[in-house]
Amino acid sequence: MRDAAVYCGAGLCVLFALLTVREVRRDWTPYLLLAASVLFAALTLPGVGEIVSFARELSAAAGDGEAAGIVLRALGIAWLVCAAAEICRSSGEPSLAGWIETAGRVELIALSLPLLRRLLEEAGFLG
Amino acid sequence: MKRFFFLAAALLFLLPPFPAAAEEASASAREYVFTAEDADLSPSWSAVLDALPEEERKELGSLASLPFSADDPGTAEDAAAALREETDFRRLWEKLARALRDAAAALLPSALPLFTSVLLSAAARHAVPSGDGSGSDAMGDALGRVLRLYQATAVFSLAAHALGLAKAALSAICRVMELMVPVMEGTALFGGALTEKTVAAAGMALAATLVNEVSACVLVPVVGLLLGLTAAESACGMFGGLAEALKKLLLRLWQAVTLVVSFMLGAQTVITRAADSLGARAAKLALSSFIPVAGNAVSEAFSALRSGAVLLKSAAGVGGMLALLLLLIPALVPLGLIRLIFAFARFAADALGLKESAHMLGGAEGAAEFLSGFTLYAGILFFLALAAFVSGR
Repeated sequence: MRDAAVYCGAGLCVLFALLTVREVRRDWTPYLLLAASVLFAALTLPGVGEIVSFARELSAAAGDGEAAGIVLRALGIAWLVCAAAEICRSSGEPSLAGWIETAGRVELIALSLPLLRRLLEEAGFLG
Repeated sequence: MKRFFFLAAALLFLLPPFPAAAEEASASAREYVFTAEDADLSPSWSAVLDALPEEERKELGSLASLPFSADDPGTAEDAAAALREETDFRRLWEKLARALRDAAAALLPSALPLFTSVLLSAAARHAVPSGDGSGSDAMGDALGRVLRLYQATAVFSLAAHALGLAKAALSAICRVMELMVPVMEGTALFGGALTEKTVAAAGMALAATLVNEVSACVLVPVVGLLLGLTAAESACGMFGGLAEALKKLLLRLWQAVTLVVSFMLGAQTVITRAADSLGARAAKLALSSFIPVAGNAVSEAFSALRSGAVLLKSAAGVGGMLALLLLLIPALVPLGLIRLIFAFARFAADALGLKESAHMLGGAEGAAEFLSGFTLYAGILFFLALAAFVSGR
């Protein structure tokens, strides 16, 4: 409850700051958005850490820590890429957002290769 | 006049002794009675026992150590005693409960990654949704594919286990049935059922070979292909029609095999029973009519031998049925459990909003259902064939 109040308070403060900065110095808006993203990421980090440690605990109990580690890394990449692409879009640079997303997808494909290898091994295509 | 000649001919035909007719009749009777000398079933029965795993062999108890030899006069009594001792359904129930406990202990470590993958995927989907109209749909889709790949590894690990189980069980069942053929031949020979010996042996060998070949070369590989297509469909939305067509083809093929084998076994049972019953009655009549003085005594001895043969046949048949059950239970229980695990995982994926994952899990559940169905049908088919063999008198 207290965390939610902190997020909401911080969000409203950033909104007022954005509205004011947009009136005074419109070119500062992307920087302020970036700062706000970093602030929110920092605020959510403890919660994310708890979720990740729980997921690791669960996957270790299931005896499949490697695959679960890949999924968590994929989730982190997706999260990061989404945030970066959103900031680019709101700053009026959709093509840059597209390139960031392409790079993220390539990274996800590379990350999921061990899973694909394991699947093919299971199907008997690889030794 | 005509009636007189007919009655005279009938009287002459029935009056003993006409040397040629008597010799022919007693040769036929000897064939029915004395072929039992060749019917030493011990090596054939040992081969059946050798095909069973050590634990299952022990489960057969005293049926496993029967002499099954025509030289041993106590064989029929031994067989009857062993049969009474071993057909205790409480022991089978205990075996079933133990198989369930073992399967649960063995499959739980494989089921945990599956449920973990469903939970983690649902959490990840919630964190980065796709198809919500935002600019990051592409990233959400890419993450979705990684998640489905992750689930597919867990699903395939369990499905490969099910495929291996079904393949091993079907092969073991068919092997035991092939090895039961000489035992059936021997017991049929012991009872003088010559038609049954020939026809039942050929029919059973053909049925066992057919089921073994169809399951090893078509059913199990096609179920593996079906699983692959289901996974590919849930990942990229293709091959759905092909998977459905394969499923229908598998079903039709199995129906055809079941129909052919049941028709073959049913027809052979009817034919052999009629032929051998006629043969046995003719032999008994020949013994009592054509063997002078001691004919009735030999005929009674023949009847006693036949009832001993029935006991031996029951022991061999029920022994085979028990061996089948002992092979089926440890395979069918884990297969049923795997199907249940897939069903629960599908339900969980559906409830958590993972539609594509639920579809993939549904496909895996269907494949596990197919595999347990094939194994069960094959077991029932051979079980009924043995039951028909035992019930033949």
